[in-house]
Amino acid sequence: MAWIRSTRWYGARLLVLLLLILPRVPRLVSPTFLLLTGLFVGGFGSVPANAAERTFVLAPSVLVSAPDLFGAKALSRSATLGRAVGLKRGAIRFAKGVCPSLLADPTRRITRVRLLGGPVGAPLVVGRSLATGLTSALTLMNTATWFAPASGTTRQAQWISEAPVSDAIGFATTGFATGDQTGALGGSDAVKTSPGFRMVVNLGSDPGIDTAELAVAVTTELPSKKLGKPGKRTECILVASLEPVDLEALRDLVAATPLGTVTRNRLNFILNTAQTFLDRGKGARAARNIRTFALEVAQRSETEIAPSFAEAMINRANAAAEALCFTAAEKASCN
Amino acid sequence: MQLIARIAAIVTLLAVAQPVRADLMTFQMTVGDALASVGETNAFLVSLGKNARGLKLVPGGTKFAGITCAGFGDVYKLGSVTVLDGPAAFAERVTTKKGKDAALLATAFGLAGLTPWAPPTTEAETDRQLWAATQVSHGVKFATESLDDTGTNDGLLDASSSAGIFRFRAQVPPTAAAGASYRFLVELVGRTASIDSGLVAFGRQRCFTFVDLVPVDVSVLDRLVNESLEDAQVRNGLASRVALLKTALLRRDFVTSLDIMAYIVGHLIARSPEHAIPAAARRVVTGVFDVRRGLDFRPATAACGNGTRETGEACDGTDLGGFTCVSLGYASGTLTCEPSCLLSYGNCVAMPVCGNGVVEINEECDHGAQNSNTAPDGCRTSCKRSFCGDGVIDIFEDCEGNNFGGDVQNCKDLGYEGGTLKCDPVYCEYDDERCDEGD
Repeated sequence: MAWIRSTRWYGARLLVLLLLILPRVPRLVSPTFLLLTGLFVGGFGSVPANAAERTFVLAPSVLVSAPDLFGAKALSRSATLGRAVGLKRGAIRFAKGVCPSLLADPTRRITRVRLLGGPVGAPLVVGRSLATGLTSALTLMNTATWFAPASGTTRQAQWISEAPVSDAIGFATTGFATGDQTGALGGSDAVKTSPGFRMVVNLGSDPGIDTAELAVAVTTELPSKKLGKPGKRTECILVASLEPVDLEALRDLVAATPLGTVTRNRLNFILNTAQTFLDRGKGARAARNIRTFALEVAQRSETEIAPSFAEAMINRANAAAEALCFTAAEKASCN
Repeated sequence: MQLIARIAAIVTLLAVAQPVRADLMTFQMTVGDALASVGETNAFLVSLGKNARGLKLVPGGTKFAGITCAGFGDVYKLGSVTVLDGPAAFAERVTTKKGKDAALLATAFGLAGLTPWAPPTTEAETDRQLWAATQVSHGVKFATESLDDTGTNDGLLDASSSAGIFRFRAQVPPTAAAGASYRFLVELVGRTASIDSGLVAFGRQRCFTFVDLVPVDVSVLDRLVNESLEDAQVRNGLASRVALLKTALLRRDFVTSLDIMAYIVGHLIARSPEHAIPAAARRVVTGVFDVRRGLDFRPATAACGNGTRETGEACDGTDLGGFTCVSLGYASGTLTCEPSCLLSYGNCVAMPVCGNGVVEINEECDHGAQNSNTAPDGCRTSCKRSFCGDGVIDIFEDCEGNNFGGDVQNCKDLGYEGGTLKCDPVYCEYDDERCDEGD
């Protein structure tokens, strides 16, 4: 049943994708049209049964270094990516997008960020000129697929969440339309590690204790030359390796860590308590429990928990607590 | 007049030529760092645009100035890693096209912000079997014995060995920010693996990259604590713990060292003013784990029981590292080494005097006349560090027994509707389990 639902979901996206690629609209009675209609009818409103709501955050430091990190990954895998990766004007090209380094060019800044819905969903969002070859390129990079319902929140100064659309969670600077770059992110933001964007999506497959490979469209632009008009823009579609920062991630880490029964039960008990508070809508109390979790891990880090596991659990717990107390209102109740 | 001019010139020269302070720091580069550096450096070279003129894309990487960097870790297994002291090394190592390639590389890598450093004469080690470290011109080289062989793959490394460590010491200038990384120029040599016992010619490839590394020395924690933490109480409290950690490490008392490091991390979490650890305190936590990684290192050649004290061992057989019972604060006795290569104090005769200002055996601290049973976070008159249950609310504690301190006396003071506030007897933190949320 889950397979059928999954296939139906893919069908809708595949239909739109094929319509984008096909040179002209197929005739009403043609086999192609019948196939596409079947896919379309079967594809609406379905989410795989194993999809799970997961939380991810993006910090300015992560965003401004993302083109370079992705460039490294894409170049290393260029033998299998083939023509999907190339060079263009001192930048790495992936599919049809161009990813210039923000660390190398201090004048270039990020003004828009969109989390894309995976290999099939991404081409539907980025527009025709960028869509060609994107599905296969993202598939080769093992990009994860996610499903609605999804939400995005930002606390980054001078940034807003874009109106929700299918297969994308978007954020842009408040002056994006007019070319006002106030608040845009550049190389100087590489030291800002506090998360500015939070995204909650239904992830198609469970990443466990690893990162999820998520497609992100990053719009960069040069300074505006004409008042009221944006500077030259470049769209970079990259694959970012992001760790889920939620209770499920902590549960996975506990499960993957060699522990004694007493310690394992204690840590799971704390996480279950946090989950209870979260289910009751009390994020602040859940965050306090997560802090207790981190503290208990630290206190056992030499006696019962190997330091490498302890470090991973403490860092992820910290990020999860921060994600729960993200907005100003949430933070006020957390402190 | 001439004499004055000469003196002025000498003074000016001395003032100008004053050397930048350099510290001898320990760095650990993993095999994973080395392999990942190939892609990262390739992306950097692409971003240089016209400053890396002639750069071409090849399958799996790039080709620039006659050097191809592609397929490291999969096609080409790692055979050697040489840490170089800067772009000046290119002139000696890249002699193609009458030095033009070397000049191109020097220009490109000159823009990478490499750390200038002086190669040491010793103290380079690795935990990889069949690998050895040697001093070479402009740096230190780690290489597998089989790199030049024709028939064996022994020692060649790929991603499955990413946790392997190359450790070296370098004289480096202090970083601008506490806990910042240093960027080292590295030359990698890879070799294709043999599938038929050396009957085919091996493919070789070498590649220049850079790697960002953070020192693993405990001295890093001094700066991190002093420059990162704003709260003076927390800062001073942790500075004293870092001092204790240094003493323990000097004495090669690894058990106490690990205990202190866990204590520092735990209390940074406990005393964080927010729900999550602030970025500044997080840097200290990361620094502690970096130092911890440094302590975990064991060179491949090290073998507890071979009679020679090596990295990671407090002693080995009769090699006690120069320590005696007296040098470790005992009155007399014979220091011995346990089979696990930890020092054994069992035969040392303790005669500690609590209150003499010297930390002796069985003493956790000794502040002399400053020892106190009432001062928060002080050294107690028993020469024990302040602890939960000593009746004094220390800086890392919310409460002690029924004493909740000044600001908080009950659940309402913590924002609850009511209930009974308790003090956790183990951690001396507020226990709000019985507080009423009012919902």
